[in-house]
Amino acid sequence: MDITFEHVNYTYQPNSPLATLGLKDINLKFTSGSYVAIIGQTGSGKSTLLQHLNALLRPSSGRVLIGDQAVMTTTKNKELHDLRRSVGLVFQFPESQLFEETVLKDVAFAPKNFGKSEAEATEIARDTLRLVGIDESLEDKMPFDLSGGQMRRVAIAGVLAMQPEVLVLDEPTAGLDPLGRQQIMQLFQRIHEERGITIILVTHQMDDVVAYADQAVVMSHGEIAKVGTPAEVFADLDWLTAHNLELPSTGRLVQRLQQKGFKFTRMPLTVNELLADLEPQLKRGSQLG
Amino acid sequence: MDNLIFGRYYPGNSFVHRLDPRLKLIINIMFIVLIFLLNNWYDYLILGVVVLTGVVLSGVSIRFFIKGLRPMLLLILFTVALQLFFTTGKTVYWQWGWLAISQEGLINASYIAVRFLLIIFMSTLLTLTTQPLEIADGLEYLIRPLKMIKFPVNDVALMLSIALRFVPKLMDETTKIMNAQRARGVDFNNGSILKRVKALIPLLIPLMMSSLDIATDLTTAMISRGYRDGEGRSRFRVLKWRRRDSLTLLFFVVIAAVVII
Repeated sequence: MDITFEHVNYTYQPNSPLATLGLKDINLKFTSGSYVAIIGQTGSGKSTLLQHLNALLRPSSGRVLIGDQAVMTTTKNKELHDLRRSVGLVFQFPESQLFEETVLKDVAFAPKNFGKSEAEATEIARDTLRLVGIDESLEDKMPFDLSGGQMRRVAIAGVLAMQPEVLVLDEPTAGLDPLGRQQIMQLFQRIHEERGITIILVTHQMDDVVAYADQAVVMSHGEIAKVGTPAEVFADLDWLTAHNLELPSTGRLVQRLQQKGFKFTRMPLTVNELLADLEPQLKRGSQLG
Repeated sequence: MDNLIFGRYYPGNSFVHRLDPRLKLIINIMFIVLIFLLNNWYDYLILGVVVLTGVVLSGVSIRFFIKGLRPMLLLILFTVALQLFFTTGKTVYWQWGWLAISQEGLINASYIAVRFLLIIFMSTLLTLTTQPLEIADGLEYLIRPLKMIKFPVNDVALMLSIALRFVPKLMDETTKIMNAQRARGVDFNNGSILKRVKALIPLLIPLMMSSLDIATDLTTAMISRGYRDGEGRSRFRVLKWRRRDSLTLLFFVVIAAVVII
C-alpha cells in the first residue's frame, strides 16, 4: 500500500493569532515495502508528518493518498476507521498507552476494535507477544508491573496486533538501554523482511538510518530538505552541518581519519565499507614504512 | 482542544499584561460580586464598556475572545433555556404544558446571558494576560492572612503553582494518549453514550498512571534539591505594586461605586 503526499500543508490552530505552520507543501511518496527513515531537528515537523500517515491529522490543504483513499480537509472521521487498521502508529514512549488489566487483554484491544471476535483477538495477541519476545508467563500480569523495556514491547505488540500493512515508528528506541535498542530495531527489521511491511521510522539515531533504512527523508522547518538513499543524504558534510544533523558514527571517524591524511572517495556508512576503504591505504602505508 | 483558550496565556506586553496580578485578581473578584448585585441595563452597559476597554488595552483581538466562548456556549444556552422556560410570571406569552415563556422569564434569561458573557470575558482577560505562575503568586499573597487561622497557605500555594505548571503538560499527554488509542481503533466521538464513556477508559487509566509517575518523579527531584516545606523559604519572583496599579484600582472602585448607586 503506497502513501502519497500531494502538496500537503498543515497549520496548527488555524485562524487564530497562535496559528503556526506545521508542514509546508509536502510532496512525498512512501512506496509499498520500503523502509524509510525521517530525520531532522526537533520541531522540524516530523511528528506532524507522521500523524498524517494514518489521518490523525487532516491536511489544511492538499491531500494524502493512503492506499486508494484520499484524505483531505473535508474527509469525515467515519471514513477513516478502516484506514487506521492498515497503518499502525507507534508513538514516542508508547508504554504510556497501556491500560488493560492484563498484558494479553491490552494487546487484544486493537484487533477487537477492528471487529475481530474475542477468541480471534486473543489468538492474534498471543502470536504477536511471541513475535516481540514476551514470554507466556507474562501474559496475565498487569502491564504496569513490567519493566520499562517489556512495557515498550507490549505496547508495540498492541500496534502490531492490528496486522498493519504500514508500520510508523516515532523514535521507538528512545530511552532504552543499548541492548533493548538493538533488540527492538532487529525486531522491526525482521517484520519488515518476513512480512513485507512498509516501515516509516522517525529517529535521531543516524546509525539506525544507515543500518536499516533504504531511503532517508530530511525535514527542516516543516519542509522537505532532501530525499535520497542514506548514502546520498550523508554524502555532503557541510550541508549536514548547516541543517544541524549528526553524522553516523562511522562518518565521524572518517572525518578524523581525513584530518590525519587518509583519503576517501565516498563516504563509508557501515563498518564494512570503512574497512574496505581503509585496507588498501593501510597496506600502502606499511609498504612505505 | 485547539479552540480552548480558557486558561491559556497569550504572550504580550500591553498595559493589561503589565498590571500586577494581585490587582487583576482583586478586580476579577470585585467584578463577579458586582455582576450579581446589579440588575438593570444601564449598569450592565457601563460594565460592558469597562470590559471592552480592558480587551482593547490588552492588545488581544476580540475575535479571539469570541472564539473562546464556543466551548462554553452549550452551558450558557442550557442555563438561559432553563431560566426562560421555568420562570413563572404574570405576563405569559406562550405556554405548552408546564413550559411557559413569561415576561419575567425573558428578562431573567437575558440577565443570565449577559452575566455569563461578562464574567467569561473578564476572567479570560485575566488568564490571557497573566502567566499562570503570576496568578499563583498573586493568589498566595491574597490568601496570606488566612495563616492566622492555621490555614496551610504555603502548601496550597505550592500545590496551585505545580497544578498550573502541569496543566499544559497533562493536556499534551491527553492528546498524545488519545491519538495513540485512536490509532488502535478507539472512536471517541461516535456511538451511544455508554460506548463513549467506555471509550474513555483507555484514556483515563493511562492518564492517571502517568500523573502518578510525574508526581513521584517530581517529589524525588524536589526533595533532592533541598525542599523541606514552605516555611522559611525566600522568594525568587517578587511582585511589585506600581502606581498604575493603584490608579487602575481607583478607577475600578469609582466605577463600582457609580453602578451600585
